Amino acid sequence: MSEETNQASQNSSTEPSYLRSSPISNLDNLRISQQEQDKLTDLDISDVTMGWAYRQTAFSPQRRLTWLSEQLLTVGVALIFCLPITLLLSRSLSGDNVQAVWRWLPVGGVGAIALTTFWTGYRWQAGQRLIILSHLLDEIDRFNEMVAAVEILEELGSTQNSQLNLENKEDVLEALHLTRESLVCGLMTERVMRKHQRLMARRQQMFSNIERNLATLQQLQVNDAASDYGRLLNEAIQIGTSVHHELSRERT
Amino acid sequence: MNHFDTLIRLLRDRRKFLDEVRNNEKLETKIASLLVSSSLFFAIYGAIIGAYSGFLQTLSSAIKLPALYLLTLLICLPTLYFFDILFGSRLNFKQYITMALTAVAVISVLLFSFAPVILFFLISVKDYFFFLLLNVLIMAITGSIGVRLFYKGMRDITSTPDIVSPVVSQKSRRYLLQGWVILYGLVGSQLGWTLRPFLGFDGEPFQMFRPEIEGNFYTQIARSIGIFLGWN
Amino acid sequence: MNHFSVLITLLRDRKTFLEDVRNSVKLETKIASLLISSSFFFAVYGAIIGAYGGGLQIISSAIKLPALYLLTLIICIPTLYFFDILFGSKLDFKQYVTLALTAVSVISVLLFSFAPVVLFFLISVKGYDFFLLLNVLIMAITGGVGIKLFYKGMRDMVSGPEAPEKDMRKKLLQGWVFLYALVGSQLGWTLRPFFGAEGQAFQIFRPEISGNFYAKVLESVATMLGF
Repeated sequence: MSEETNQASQNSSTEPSYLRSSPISNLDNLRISQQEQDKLTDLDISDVTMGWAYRQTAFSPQRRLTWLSEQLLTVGVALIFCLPITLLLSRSLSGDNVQAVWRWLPVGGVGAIALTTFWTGYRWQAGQRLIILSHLLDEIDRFNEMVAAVEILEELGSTQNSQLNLENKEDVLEALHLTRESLVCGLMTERVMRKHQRLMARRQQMFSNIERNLATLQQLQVNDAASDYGRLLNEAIQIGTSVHHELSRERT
Repeated sequence: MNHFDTLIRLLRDRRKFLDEVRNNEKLETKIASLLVSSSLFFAIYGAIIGAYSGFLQTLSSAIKLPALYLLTLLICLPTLYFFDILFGSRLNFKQYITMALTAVAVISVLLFSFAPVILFFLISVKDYFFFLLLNVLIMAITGSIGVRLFYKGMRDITSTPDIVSPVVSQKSRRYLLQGWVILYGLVGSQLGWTLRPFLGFDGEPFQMFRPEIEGNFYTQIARSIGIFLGWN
Repeated sequence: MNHFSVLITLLRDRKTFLEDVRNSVKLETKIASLLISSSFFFAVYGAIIGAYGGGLQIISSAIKLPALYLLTLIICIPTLYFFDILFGSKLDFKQYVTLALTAVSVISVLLFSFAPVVLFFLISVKGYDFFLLLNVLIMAITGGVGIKLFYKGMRDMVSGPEAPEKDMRKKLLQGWVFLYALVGSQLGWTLRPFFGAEGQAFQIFRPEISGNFYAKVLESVATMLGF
């Protein structure tokens, strides 16, 4: 391992175990888990939401059906609140007149739809405000997928006992580690910027950390871009670049 | 479905669930899931009891029954929150919502678990008063279990010193919680009274509400007791 | 929004708040904030109970209810202050005002927390006596809690080692609380109506002064139970 990496890993509290154990170990602690995401962002992160706010993924075409069903459920719950309240109010205002209550009932339905629209609008708006976090989370998903891919490759390699690009693997692991660190740094920076806009010093330090990681990533030689490991290495560099890009956009 | 996962986790491992609430973990997901799943269960149960007297009543009860439980919660929650923080609690409003929804969700699952029984009696016995009493009994049982669990949960969650400031005695907090449960019961019974009918009479046309009632649940109860004891 | 944050600090961390009062930290800000936020909460609650009568009664009650609590305070606070310094208190007038406002603010927040409940009963139950009793009950509960906390706060405040005549001052405080309740209920009676009876024209004041608060409450209980 280069000196640079060791130094960088001191900054993050989660030192991956692959530095100590053999390279062919489980990569679970490289993955950025849901709990870790929650803790790093201080929000409730799921596949499609951050807190109440929508992530950009919520509107992707393959999730359209889920989104629609979610809207239907929301309308249902809103109806449960709006219709009986309309019933109560119209009873009280009209003095128990049955006709008047029937006439007022559609207002409850309209109210429910309005409530749903308003709620969705609010969540979308909140999502727009957290757009950078949303992009970072997308990168994290991509990263986690990458880790899974490496795991599969390793498993394949160990069963077929072929010498599949072993010389490249060290590089990939290091790249993954660096990318992870950049992502974690990115999340922390984003949170710091979100919470206290004034804490510049810490923000600067984390930012320079990311830049250094990216530089190291780019130094890793991609010997064989056509191989699986080479492709992953490229992807790691891409993620690193986009984290850097997102945060520099926020900084300006 | 995602939403039921949360509910199942709550039922299976309440202690862990409460720990998560205490630590502010994933509250939004929890609130949304509990709200949706409990509404659904209540709606199913409501539809079954409404089925006693026709289609429109089914629809109306499917909306009214969840509303009964959830609106009562909405009405009573601010009282609990403000009194409780005054008595030294450090929980935030979201945590209170989650805790209260937990109780309601437990009640909804228990009611849902009685659904086959109710359905069986609905088909086999056609007697209004029997059916009414059966429902009151089931709701009383499920309600008291739900409230008991809520009560215990609240006590557990506020038993750590970092949640409750130690100056306030646990006794006054207990009274507070008991008082709130009573308030919830009172508001709930009046709301239920206003939203009637849930069952609807046999063979009578659909009524969205019983227009004749004058006065309220409590005077009605007092009057009934009076008649029962031979006054008037 | 700043005003409410003072109130939230008071609710969440009473101990620190009282400590601040004891050390005369930022008393002016505290007084202003508590005054504004408690007036606001009382006004909201007043508007809700005024909605029973409807129309002008809403505005009238929204003004009367804060006035009821705050005027009573103004009337009673000199008594407390002078008696208390006579028995050896070292606090100054501003501190007394802040402490008393603390109690009133707590009451206002608690009343506010009952607002949804009252609103619900307002919509679902049409009965003057019921509504009256409900409100008396709520005000009694909130008032009781508020006074209890005020009482405890005052005791903590004077519990330093150099506090002379502790017993006497305890009795004094109890007497004052009693006085406050008396003045408050009479003032409330004078400021009537808060609800406005159904189907009657709006009145700013009820012309007849006869009768008193307690007789009316008993009468309501009797009417509601059908005697």
